Amino acid sequence: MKNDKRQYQKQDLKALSTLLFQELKADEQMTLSYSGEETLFVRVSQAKVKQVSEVSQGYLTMSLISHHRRTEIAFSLKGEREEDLKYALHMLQKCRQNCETLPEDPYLVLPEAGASSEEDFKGKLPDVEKLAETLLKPAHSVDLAGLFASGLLMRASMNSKGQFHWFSTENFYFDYSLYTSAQKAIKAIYAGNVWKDEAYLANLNQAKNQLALFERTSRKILPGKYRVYFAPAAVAEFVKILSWSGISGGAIMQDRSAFKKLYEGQAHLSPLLSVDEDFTQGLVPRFNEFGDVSALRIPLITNGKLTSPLINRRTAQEYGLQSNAANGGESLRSPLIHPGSLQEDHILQNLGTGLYVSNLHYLNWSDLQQGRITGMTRYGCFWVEKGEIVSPIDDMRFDETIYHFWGEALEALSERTELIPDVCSYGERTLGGVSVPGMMVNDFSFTL
Amino acid sequence: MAKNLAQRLNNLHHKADWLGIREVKETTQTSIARNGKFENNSTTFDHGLMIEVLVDGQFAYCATDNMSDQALQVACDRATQLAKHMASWKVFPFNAHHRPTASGRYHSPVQHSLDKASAGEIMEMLVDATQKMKVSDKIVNRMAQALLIDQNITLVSSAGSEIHQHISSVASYLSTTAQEGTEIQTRTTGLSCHQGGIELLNRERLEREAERIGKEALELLNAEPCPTGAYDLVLAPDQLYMQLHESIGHPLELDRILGDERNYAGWSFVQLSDFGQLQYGSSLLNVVFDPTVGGEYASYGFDDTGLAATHQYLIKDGVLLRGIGGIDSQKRSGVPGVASTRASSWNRPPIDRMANINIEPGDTSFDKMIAGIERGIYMTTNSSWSIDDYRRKFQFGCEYAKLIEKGKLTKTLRNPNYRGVTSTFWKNLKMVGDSSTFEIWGSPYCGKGEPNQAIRVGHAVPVCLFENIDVFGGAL
Ligand SMILES: [Zn+2]
Repeated sequence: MKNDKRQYQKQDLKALSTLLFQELKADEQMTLSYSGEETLFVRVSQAKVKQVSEVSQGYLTMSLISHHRRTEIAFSLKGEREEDLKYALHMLQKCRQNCETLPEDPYLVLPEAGASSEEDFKGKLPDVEKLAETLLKPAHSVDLAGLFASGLLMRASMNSKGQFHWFSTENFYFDYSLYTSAQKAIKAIYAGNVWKDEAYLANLNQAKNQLALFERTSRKILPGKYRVYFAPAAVAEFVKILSWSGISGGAIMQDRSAFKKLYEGQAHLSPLLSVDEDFTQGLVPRFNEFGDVSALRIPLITNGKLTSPLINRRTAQEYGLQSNAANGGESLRSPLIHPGSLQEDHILQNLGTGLYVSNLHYLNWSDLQQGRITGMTRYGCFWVEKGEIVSPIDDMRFDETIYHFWGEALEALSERTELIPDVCSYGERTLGGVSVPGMMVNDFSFTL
Repeated sequence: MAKNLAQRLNNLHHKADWLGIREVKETTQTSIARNGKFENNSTTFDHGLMIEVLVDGQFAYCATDNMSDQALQVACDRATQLAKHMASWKVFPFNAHHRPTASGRYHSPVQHSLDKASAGEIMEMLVDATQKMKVSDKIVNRMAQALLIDQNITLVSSAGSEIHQHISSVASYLSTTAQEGTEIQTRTTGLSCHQGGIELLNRERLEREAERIGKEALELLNAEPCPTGAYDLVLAPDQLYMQLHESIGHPLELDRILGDERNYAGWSFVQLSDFGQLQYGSSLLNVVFDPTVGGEYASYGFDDTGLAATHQYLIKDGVLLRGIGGIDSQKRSGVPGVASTRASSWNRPPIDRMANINIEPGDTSFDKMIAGIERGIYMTTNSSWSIDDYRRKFQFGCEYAKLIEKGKLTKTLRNPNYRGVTSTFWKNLKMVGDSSTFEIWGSPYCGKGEPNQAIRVGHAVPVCLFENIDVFGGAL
């Protein structure tokens, strides 16, 4: 990374926000949130560098409440103290102008006085000078595509009641896939805070060894119902779609959630299934953009019953519910599925005859109210007979409801959860990931 | 603005074989009303620079939101270092001829600029639209949303390029949900998006549409479920544009075909040797890259490498001619492409993207098309979409459908879906609607790339008829 880091650090933010709060009039309240990063991206295709870029960015979001009205403006902080304060004051004026013309907000989330927090996770990132060689020299004999990203991520929340929360972490990931000449693939990721060459080599070698299995001729699977083992990376895709018209309390109350039936007790899931928001791993900040701090663990689904959807203070006010400090979008930030009893080394034997699905692709609700999801198998998926891998498969489309595969058809969860890091980078890099075990499911529907 | 930036480029100390600066200044305003009340008003003022250098045959990029001369020099030095560090591992040796020298301007067709309406005026229009949706007590949720984007892109290069583009756009979306017992149905307007000024946010149109979707949501509550089986399928433009996007747009992207997207967005069933040969669809299929359509969402004059954008046939009379890829991919693949190297903003390097990808209208009127169908289904407004990473096996869901019996539209159908395989689907194209059925659609959220980039695309299409398609209804 650059030596001359100029992005806002906590002291700068504290100083800026204090000055801004001093400008507020008696009937005004303000919440500020900050999101910044310094990231190096190296994009790889055919085990060569396709594109390299570095970005330095930081956005401050200012939410002004005035006379029961609310507006929000986000803007770049340029790292020049005086200039930034001048610009922020200009933005405050714009917020005031907007508030004057807007109608009242019926469900205002007011800033609250509360404890402050500071967390910094220092990392050891690989040296950029030798990075291409470190990543690609050991991959010279294979066809590799992927993205390396590393750098500092910062999040903060401040309000006019004096609350200040700060979170920063230095981390990296190399999210990649390896390909056979017949275009069959293995997906892998090496991620963490402290880069170790040996750990990367071990990760790459494991993927290379798995790739050998895919040199066998691929088999075409006919549409129908199959017994399926979903590896953790595949299970993570089912969890991620719950952030979209699933676990949100607002979505349930507004009839646009697949969990409405579960919430109202008209449907249930398997007693084997328990899902939490789990902040104990410290991968993501526990505070949200309103400055609310989550409990370390929030049980969402307990033994198949919906304990609580994700509810933010806005939804809580509108529907008279209890907030659990969910974010604005009531999306999952650090989900965990509790592991089960299926032993890792018995997975193929337990599967017997059926499909081993390692990854899924492009999930979407195909019938939201009934909780039906369609999507595709992707990367290394196998046909297994009598506990033995027979061949890779041609990708299949599935169409199945959560009430089936997380309901009566869920036979077992594996004994260990795996962290699948979130590598999303639309606009900015996302923090955290999904911790899930694998799952064994009966009669899962493939349609094309 | 371009002059000033060119001057700043000339003041930089550098040893690059080619150097470009792209400055993006963008204001995005989102307004949402729900159930007759304010829901949200937020604005983002985004402004930053991307420096691109060519050193030792390797392009490298450094992005900063600090506009000072000093920060610009730091970014330039850093990009140069990065290029040097990576050059011996480059995927292709580029040279300065791979960045055209061009000058010009582009402006969206704007009658009244976006800042002519206050936040309150826009909110009032949206609140009123949600009121108009309340056509019955069975309407349980109503939402109206507007997305206004004003973008200025300036591109200058060490070879003398000076390009300035001003893009102004408005997107709007209305959604209403009706409930009776356990049956819940949502009807929306689809996300309508166009380039232009604030005049696009038209009160009369919003209120008319609000009332229509309210009534249609009620109608769906008592509609029959969509049947299962092989049917003639007529797709309205607000569904066909998604079919075009997913099963023609993405698979024709040259970087996907080259394998660059394999680790994220996916690969393509199309191969480099298919260009000029492959019968992609029936002879009625004509697909164009056309960044010059007035008011379409992804119109522009130049892409982010400075290549001038012109109308081109991608598929003519059903035959695949050209890929969706800019200079870099054209050089690497040897396949003809288009001016479509685009970045989502200042903080991402440009890659091969769609822009306006359109299906040309044919000569069949809507009435004539329906009249010729013995047993079919007419589907409108996309609600669900999914396709595999090679872009072969797709499944789509729509909000609202009509049964077609003996040449007439009859019963309303709920939860309509269809699935198929790209190559056979487009070969089953049997009729193409005339220009009276042609509509402009698009999306602000086409996702792709590592790091990820969401970009605006436009799709203008007529109504089309497909034969023998696998259709089905909701879950049991
Ligand atoms: Zn797309």
